[in-house]
Amino acid sequence: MKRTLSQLGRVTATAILGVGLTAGLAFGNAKVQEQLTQYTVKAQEFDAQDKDNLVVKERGTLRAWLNEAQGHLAKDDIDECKLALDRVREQSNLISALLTQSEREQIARSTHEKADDLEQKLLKIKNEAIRLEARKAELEKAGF
Amino acid sequence: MKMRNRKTITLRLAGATLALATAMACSAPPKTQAILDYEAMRNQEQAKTVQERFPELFKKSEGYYREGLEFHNDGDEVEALHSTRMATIIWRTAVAKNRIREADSSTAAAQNRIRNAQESIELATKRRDDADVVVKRMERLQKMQAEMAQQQAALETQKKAKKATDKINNVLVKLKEAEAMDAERHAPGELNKARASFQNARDALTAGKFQEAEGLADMAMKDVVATMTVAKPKYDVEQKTRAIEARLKALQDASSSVPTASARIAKRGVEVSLLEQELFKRKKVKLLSDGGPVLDQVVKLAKDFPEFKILVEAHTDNYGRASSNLTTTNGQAQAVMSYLIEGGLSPDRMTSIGQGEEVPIHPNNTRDGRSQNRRVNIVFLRPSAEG
Repeated sequence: MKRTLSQLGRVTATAILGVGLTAGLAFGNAKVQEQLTQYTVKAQEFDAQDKDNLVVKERGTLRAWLNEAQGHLAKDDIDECKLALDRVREQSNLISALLTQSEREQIARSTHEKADDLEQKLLKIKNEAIRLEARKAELEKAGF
Repeated sequence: MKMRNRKTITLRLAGATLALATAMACSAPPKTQAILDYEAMRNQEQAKTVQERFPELFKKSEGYYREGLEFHNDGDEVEALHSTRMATIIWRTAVAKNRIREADSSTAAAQNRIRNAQESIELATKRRDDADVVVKRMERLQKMQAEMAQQQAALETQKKAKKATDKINNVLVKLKEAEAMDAERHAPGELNKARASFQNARDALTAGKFQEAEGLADMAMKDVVATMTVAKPKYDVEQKTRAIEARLKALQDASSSVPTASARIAKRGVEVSLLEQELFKRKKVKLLSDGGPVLDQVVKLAKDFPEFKILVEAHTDNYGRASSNLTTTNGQAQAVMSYLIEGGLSPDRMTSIGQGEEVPIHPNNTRDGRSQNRRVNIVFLRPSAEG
């Protein structure tokens, strides 16, 4: 009886562990899927943002890795999926940084252009002031 | 960096130990292209800046790199490629972030330039506008002064033009005067010269050379005056002569009022001739009473033409002695003159002379001829035009 009970306990514990593991595994997959979905959405956002096709190659790579991760997940190959997901995350960061870089460089360029314009305007006004002051001196010399 | 699970790490350490043992036995395998690319990228100029600015990313990237190298050395190329890719992506991300920072820094610098430019524009604009206000005021003054000078110059020109015009007009007036003096005849050379000078002055005036026109007008005036100097005396004489002639003609016409008298204009003047028989008995010197009314008409005539001096001149025929005839005519002339003086004429105007028989106007061989020769001429003497 004692043995039976012990066996029963062992069976029960094994069953509980099995259920727990299955549930844990299912919970982990869902979380990974959620991340994959988030990055897929992000990839679409990148597509929309990249109007000038600055990061076409990088977006292609991201899509490829997303597909790879999705494939691993479908096969419950979580380790490989997570590896691919790591690359997806870093690739997203890279694309985001590259797009931001492009945007900021554009801002810098346009700001410099504006500064150039203003400096040109300043030069023009200075030259005009110099011309007028010379004219003034000339008129003063003429007795006005 | 999210590391693999402990089991993986343990396995990796075991692998590394094995790899180390193997490395001791033989040399490391050649690096993959991915590893070489990463190393090349990391050795670029900006690597140091990236390391300084983004130490976390640098550290993470380098961790993956070393890990990849280890996997490679272990012969696990799949893991090596993953790690190297991670290292590469993170490195590139760091580089991009560095560029973002540089772009932001550049933007800030540009904004600073903008601020400086805007401030300078404000100052320069004020400087320009201030100068502009002053210059515009001065230019207005200059314009006004120029306009005034222009007006002054126009006035001066008008003045000069008027002066020259006045002078030329004066010349024209004088020229017409000279022409009226019949300078064409009296001083043709001088007149032509004056006309030429006048034309020169007028041409200069038309050409707007007022100063020159004025000088030429002065010269023309001198020429006109010279013309008049020559022409005027001649003209005056001519005019006076005409006036005298007209008066003589009038006097001749008026003498018809003297009964029985005949009048003619002679070289010396108007001769009003009366036969002796109208005034005296033949060769007598006492006036007949019938002669009074005749001589009264002569007095009236003389009073109407007071500018003429009067010569009373008696003539007779050659009948009798000449000396006697001379005496008789002297007496007759004297008697007529006395009557005229009594009639109110000034003795200063008159002289009398008896011509005897010396100036007959008809042959004395007939009675009628002799009768015509016995006469008294009251000569209204022609005055000298040049006197």
